[in-house]
Amino acid sequence: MKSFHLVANFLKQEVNTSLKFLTTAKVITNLNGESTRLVDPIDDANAFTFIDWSSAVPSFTVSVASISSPEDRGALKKFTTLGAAEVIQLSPSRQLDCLSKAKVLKRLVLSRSFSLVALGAQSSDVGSAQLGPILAGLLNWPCVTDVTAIVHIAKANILVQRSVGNTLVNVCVPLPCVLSCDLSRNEFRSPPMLSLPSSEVKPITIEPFDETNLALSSQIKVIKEIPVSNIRLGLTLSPLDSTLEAFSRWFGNFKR
Amino acid sequence: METSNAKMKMFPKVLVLPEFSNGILTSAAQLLLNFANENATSIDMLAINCDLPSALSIGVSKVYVLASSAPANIRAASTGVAMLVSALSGRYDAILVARSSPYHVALCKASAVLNKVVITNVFEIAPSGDFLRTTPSGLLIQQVRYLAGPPCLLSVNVNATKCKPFQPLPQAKSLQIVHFDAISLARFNVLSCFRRKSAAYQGCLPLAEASFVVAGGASFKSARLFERYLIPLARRFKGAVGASRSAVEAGFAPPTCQIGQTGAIISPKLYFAFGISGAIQHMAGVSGSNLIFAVNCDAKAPIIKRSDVSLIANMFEALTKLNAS
Repeated sequence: MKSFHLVANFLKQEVNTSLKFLTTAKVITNLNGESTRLVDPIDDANAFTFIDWSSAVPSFTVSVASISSPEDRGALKKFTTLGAAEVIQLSPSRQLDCLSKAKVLKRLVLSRSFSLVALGAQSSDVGSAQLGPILAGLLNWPCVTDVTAIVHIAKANILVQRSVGNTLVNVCVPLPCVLSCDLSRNEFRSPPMLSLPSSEVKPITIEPFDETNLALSSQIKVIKEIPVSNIRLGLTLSPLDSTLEAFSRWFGNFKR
Repeated sequence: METSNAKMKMFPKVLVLPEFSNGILTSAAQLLLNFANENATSIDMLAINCDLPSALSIGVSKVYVLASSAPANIRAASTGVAMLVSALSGRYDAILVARSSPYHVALCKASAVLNKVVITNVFEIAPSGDFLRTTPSGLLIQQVRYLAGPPCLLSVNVNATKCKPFQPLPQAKSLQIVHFDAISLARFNVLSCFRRKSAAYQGCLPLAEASFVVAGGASFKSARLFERYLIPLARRFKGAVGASRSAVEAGFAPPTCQIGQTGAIISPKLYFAFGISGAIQHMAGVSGSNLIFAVNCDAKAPIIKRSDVSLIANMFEALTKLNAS
């Protein structure tokens, strides 16, 4: 009976816990040579995971923020369909370095009282996962990197699983916190049909980008981009037997 | 006096944060020291989780040794390390960490304190003083100019560096012991750790050290087939086993085998890919290979165009013949 009361109290606490989560979405050019713009699959998976949590616990709300150009608004539309409470777009007039992006996000987090920020494992600045730690440093919040699963979210802390090399580590982090996540991204997700009409009327919030309050001068400048001159031979061989025989011979010489 | 063709050293004094494993420098830390040696006149080191004799034997100018009652979990106590780095930063022209080490996070936190951006994935410093860095796709190299003043915070892509080996000094010139309470500085609690078994991979080299890498994709369908076909080949040719992200997510290979944008970035002499489609995220991890040999039954797979030699064949048939030859 005592344990029943404990469970009931725990569930009551969970349902009454009102938490606001922020996930970020980086819009990238499709790497497979097409000109379409899409949300980074890692950020996609993060947003969907927290939206799943919010659909299970209605007092949790998920907002998605993106620092991207106004033309990328179409790529962000799917988050409103999938159940995000709000999609916020910040469109700076010029390229920002990672530190400036973190300052912008800090202002957003503090103004809207988010208790958890989940960023993609590759955001930002050439996929180096530095935005999360910098944001945590600016907010003086704990930061957990390499998060691969969200195990449990409670009122005052969150239990996450991180993968470091060959080791899985369960970590309990006090809220508020910043997570740098790489959640499973190969899962196919489609918006529920019922949410389509409501999402049509839910606009993407354009956050005014007032640069005057922040010292946003980029400390690095990309001088040029040099294509890697790694031209491959492109030989296609057949049949199997003679190729492998030749390869074994060649590889024997190669090792010597 | 330096010869005229010797490379001009960019920084007079740098602080390096190398990673230690059981008191020994990791291979990434060794490469980081090589990079520091090539670009700095004087190297100081912050040694965490390293005993005093080992720290002194490395042969840098000055060593800061962290004295802690327990080994520090760098990932949990990164804020403490960041504060320490921030406090020391005024004495240095640059602070160097390896991109793959846990100090990358600490340096990012220090960047928030110092209001300086971290220049990531750097692998070379051009004579003009610009930094050359790799991009996630592996298809471009960015030349970046740092516009702010010292210290310059650099996160080095050590696997892409090509530097001469570090020449150690006979003895560190000075030593400073810093007291560091690793337990109270931890910002989150580790509840449990679970090391995944990978006994089958004994006898194979780590990915970063191998000159021959044999890798497989999700088309292997099971961990059993993965181990049965790829491990004997890797053992026989004294190489390493790699895997695509989809194979790791499916549980066919341990995460340490993952190659690509979110896994290891390797540059072996020969990369042998079996049943890997060649998504650009995967190819970013192998673009530094000298020779790419791909076996795939799909002639339209992207890897066929991006490899040196490709074989359109059933991979199990090819592997059976290779293992038997």
